[in-house]
Amino acid sequence: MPVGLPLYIGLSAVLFVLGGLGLLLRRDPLVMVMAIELMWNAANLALIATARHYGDLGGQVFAFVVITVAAADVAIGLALTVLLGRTRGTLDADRLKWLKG
Amino acid sequence: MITFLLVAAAAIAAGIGVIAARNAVHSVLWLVVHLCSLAVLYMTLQAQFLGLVQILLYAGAVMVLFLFVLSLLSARSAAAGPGGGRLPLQVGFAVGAAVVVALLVMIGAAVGTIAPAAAATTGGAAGAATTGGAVGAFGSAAAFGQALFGPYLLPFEATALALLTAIVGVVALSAGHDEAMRHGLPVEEQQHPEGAPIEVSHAAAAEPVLTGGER
Repeated sequence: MPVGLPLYIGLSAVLFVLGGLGLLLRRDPLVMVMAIELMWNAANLALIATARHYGDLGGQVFAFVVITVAAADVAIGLALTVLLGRTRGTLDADRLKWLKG
Repeated sequence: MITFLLVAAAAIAAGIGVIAARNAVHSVLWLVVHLCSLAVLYMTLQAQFLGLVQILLYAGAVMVLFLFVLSLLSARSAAAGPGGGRLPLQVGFAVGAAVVVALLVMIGAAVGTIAPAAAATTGGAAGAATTGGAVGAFGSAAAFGQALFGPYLLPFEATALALLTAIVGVVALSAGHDEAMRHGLPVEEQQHPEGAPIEVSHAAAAEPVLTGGER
């Protein structure tokens, strides 16, 4: 019995919310970047499942673009994290408040 | 169906592991499990090329990057553990469960509007392969490349631009940091001979950067 599109989209929704929860609940910037990765991948799963369902490679191509952008996102996020660790000596996202006006 | 359920359960469990692990290294390892299970799902969805890219690029390169940064910062990574004054865990899980239920209800309501699967894919990869087209089966590297460099060439070029932006951004972040260090140095230290150890200047410059950031 083939698995329908709604199951994949539902799994994607669950994983997306899982990533959002991680982003909201954790204070370590590294783990927050990983939670963002979870959200990117949930979106990718929805894209690829839709591409398979409609037989359109456009979804897969866009998933490829998303993978690339996610890699760029990781690079920037990790650079910021390293910079924070080096200049501030703390990796607690709750303490990064000096941008407050 | 069995495969989907098993792999989906593995993906969800690994995702919970990512956000619940106390140690960030364990989070990275759970993330590897998560990405590999997603790669399996991609392959069952006839996205073989993307499944391989997922394993090579994500579970390989990006995770190495994570572990590298983690070992670089391991001494300061003390803010482990969820919650802790940011948002009560119960509130977080309640909000998360509410959003999941809302999304699933929306998906369930939209099920009727989903158009039937395209005829080209109902035959699956085997059907496409037996036609013997030069492009290859749906989702194979050949078909994917044809699509990527054919109708989707512009998004592909935009991807290159995004990567260039990321490179420039990262270089600006780290090089700007070194620049600030150099400006914070006393003059006599700036004119060190070539053989001067880098560690010394970095240690001497750490203090001015900190005070500069307080402004």
